[in-house]
Amino acid sequence: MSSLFEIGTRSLTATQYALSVTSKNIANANDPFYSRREVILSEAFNSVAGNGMNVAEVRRIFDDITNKNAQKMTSEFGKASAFSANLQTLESLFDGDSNGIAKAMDASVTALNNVNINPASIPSRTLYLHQINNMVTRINGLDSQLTAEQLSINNTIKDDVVKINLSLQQLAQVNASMVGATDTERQELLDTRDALLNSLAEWIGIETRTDDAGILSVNLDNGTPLLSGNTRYALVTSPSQGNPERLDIAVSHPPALIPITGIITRGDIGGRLAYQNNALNDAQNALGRLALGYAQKMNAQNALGIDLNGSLGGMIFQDINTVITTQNRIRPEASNQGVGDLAVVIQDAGQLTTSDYKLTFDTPTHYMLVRQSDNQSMSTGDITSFPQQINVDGFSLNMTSGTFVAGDTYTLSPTKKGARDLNVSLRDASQLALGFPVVATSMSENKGKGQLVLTAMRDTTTPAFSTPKQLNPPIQVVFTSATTFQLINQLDNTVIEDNLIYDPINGADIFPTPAGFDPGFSVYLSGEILPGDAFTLNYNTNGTGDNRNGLAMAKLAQQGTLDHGTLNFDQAYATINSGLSSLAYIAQAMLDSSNTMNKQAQFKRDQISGVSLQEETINLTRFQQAYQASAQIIDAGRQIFDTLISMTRR
Amino acid sequence: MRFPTLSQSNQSMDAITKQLEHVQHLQTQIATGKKIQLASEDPALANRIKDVDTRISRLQGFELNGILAENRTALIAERMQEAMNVTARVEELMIQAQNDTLNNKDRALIAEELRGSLQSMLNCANTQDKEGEYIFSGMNINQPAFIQDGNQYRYQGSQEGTLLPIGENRLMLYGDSGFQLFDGIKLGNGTFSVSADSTNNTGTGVISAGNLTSSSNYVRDDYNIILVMNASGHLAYQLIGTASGQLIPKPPLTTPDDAPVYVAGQTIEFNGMSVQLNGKPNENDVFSITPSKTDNVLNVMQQLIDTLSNPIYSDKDKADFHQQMSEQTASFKQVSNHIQTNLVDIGYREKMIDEQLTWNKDHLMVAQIMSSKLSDVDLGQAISELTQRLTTLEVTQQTYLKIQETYMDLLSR
Repeated sequence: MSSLFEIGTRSLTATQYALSVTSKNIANANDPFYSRREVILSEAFNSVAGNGMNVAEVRRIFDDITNKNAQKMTSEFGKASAFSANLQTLESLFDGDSNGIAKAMDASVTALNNVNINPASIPSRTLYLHQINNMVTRINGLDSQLTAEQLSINNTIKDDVVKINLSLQQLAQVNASMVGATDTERQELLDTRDALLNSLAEWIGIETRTDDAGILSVNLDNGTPLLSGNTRYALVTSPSQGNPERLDIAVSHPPALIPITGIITRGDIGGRLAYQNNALNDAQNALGRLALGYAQKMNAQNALGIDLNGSLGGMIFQDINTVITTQNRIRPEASNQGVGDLAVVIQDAGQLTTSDYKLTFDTPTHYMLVRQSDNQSMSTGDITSFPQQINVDGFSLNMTSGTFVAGDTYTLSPTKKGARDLNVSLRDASQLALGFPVVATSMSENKGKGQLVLTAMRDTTTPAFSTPKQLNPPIQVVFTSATTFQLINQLDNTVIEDNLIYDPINGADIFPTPAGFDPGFSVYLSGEILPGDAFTLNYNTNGTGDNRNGLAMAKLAQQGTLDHGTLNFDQAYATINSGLSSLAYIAQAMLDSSNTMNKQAQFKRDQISGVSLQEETINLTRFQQAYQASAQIIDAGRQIFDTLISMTRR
Repeated sequence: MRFPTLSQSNQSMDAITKQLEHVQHLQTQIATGKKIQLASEDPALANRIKDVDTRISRLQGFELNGILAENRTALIAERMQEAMNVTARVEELMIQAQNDTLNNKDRALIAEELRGSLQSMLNCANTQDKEGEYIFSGMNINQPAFIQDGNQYRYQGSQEGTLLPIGENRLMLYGDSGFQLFDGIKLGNGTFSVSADSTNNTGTGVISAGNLTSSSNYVRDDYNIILVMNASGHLAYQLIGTASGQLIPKPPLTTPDDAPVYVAGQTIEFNGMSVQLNGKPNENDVFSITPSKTDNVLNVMQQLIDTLSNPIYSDKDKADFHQQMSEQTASFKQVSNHIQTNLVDIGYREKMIDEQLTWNKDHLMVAQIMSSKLSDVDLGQAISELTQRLTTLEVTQQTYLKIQETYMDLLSR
């Protein structure tokens, strides 16, 4: 009899409990980190007829491997979305239509062509100078936007680090609360922990482990602990020594700081670092290289010509190798113990790559220079004396003095500041050197049909141009027979070189001569020449209409001058632009696939742990019926009891 | 298989979002008319579009230069045609002037007209454009091409012309060198010149301008024909080259007795040249044959004026006049050939520019069509696709609602 009441009461209690668990499941159906609970009911034994039913346990349904996999996918997705979003920004920054760099470059070539029509016209010259200035302003502008991009990466990483530290703190509290918690409390703590771990994984790649007591420890991919028991190790950021624009991230294990920047490959931070190192840095370097190439090549060409006043041309752009710029291209690591006076001088911008380089000393005298893009060793050797010059990829590393210690490291960025430092130094448009400084003339008394043409200016730093506005010496080419000629100094009629051979069929470039006389320009003789015929080479004193150097400049803009002669200026820009587009395209594809995989992983997790309302509704009905039935049992017991009482009354 | 509620609704949401993205993409395409908005949507296509657009802007960059080259060349052709007309008139006057019925006054009148022609020629050579630049001075655009220097005209521009790009890898002569057009002309018959020693000759012999009969046999040298008297009292001639030595009579024959007897109008041939001696030369008269010198149009005309301005009083004067006219006729023939050749060259240049401009225009058009094909969206297709996408979107939404309904059914049971 008592057992009927007991069975009824027990099953009523158990079912009520099951109903409350089901309600809890229903209430949390929309919490993505809630793992559903399952009530396990079991038979209660303590007499022959049994004691009805008990709640054996409430299980929190989850699968550790599936959860970890979902976490991992969250990290991958976090990385892919940060990478892709940043690249889209970068792509639109470089997009030629919006920033106008490509247009400005085209416009400057068109303006140059117009100057070449009328080299004496100051308005045309000024317009060309304006166009160059416009182009430079745009390149500078893009560069500062790239620098701002770097700043925004830094800010985001700082935000992420704050959030990570907060999550770690909360996880530590969860660990602390686990001790002595009831089963129900533990389950709720586990839900909280799952949510925290998921957001942590979104920012940074982690590995987790739980011990038998349910205490969680969190490590980075390389095993550096972030959380162990109740202790969390905070992340800290600081400006990178080798590259102060960037952030270095470290884990604080007092008193030590363990640097971890290099090993973060997943999560939002991983995506931003990958973007910073692979896309942003390359893009800035490539833009810098373009700027350096433009400045160096145009300066060199301008130096070969004469301006409207007849003087040799100066620099259009600021010198790319000033003391400050060459020193800024190399930076020591903070950990360096030695000191050195080092500079990076651009020799030939056409040979530059877009990579950074690393200089390390493994002994106080032995160095290694490694190109970062492909980790190729470019130069190794011993520094035993100063000055030293190491020539690599179009630049030279100049060491004036220094004492180095094994382990000293320097970062070389030959191109990074190129775009920032691009600057037009020419102010007076009449100083654009559009003419060549030399004119070739055949004497009017000549009987033959020979022609002497100045084909190219190569160098105006030769002694031939040592006196302003003069050719030193002015040269006369005099034919002593139809196939031999001599070079004569027109000032004192002395013979510079005699018995030079001329081939009337093929013509001849006469400089440099067999004896090595080379005034720095090329002249080409052709046609039938008769003995006594003469030609003169004089300074171009009246060449206001001369556009020969202007044409050479226009040609330079179309010719391949960068990247070992494979890219012209336009193409160099288009290559950066299309390279970024391809990268953005790939990043989008990666984002799409990691999005799918992330969703699949979440779906798998939900399959196990997620709440199904249908299921719970059916459970609810089931337990409701069981509750009513249990109540009926008690009612039945009561009626039996009543029957018994009334029987005894009689 | 369980269907957890949250992931089920997430999936439905995803499906609807994806459909919406498609719709939005099509909407943007239709709004902008462009297939792709960002290069990363299709980098390969974007690169092709960029290539074609670069090509377009480059071709457009040559448009102005092409027009300028065309105008400039037309101006040059016009001026050279004028020069050609002047030479034609000069040639007519030269024929008139050689008429022996003319008297000194008539010749002086012709000389006067020639002075006018010379001035016209100088005006042509020193043509200035709208900006006041001398178009035939090469690079020295601020100076007249030719100046008078004493009794001589001298070219003072540069011998090289200035060039202008009018197409990819196509440079066209823009600032012509007057030296090429008006100077450096070989006088005489183009290979050699003839002259009589007008101060020492006593006879009235006249040497013709001569012909080059064989350029391979031609030997460059200074030659003299010297008239001698042979033993039988006949006038004979010998021919001696400064470097070649005696050619007529051929050694070992000797002068004067072996020298050929002078016959008026007889052709004398040697070393690839032939000349004729006419009139009545005297013993010891000398006629010279020298390699051609070069000079400019203006000086040749000035010499002609000088010749016509000298009055003729004697037979000797007349012979000298004819001798000079014969040389100058030959020289002026070279002048007119030279200008004619340059005119043909300029005509050819005009044709080249025209062809280049047509080429530029054609390629620009092809590139523009190509660019539009590559980058413009096919509106009809895009709109029909949009309609289709919207239908799919509706179906997806309906599906979601149906699933929700089944659950509601479950609850209401």
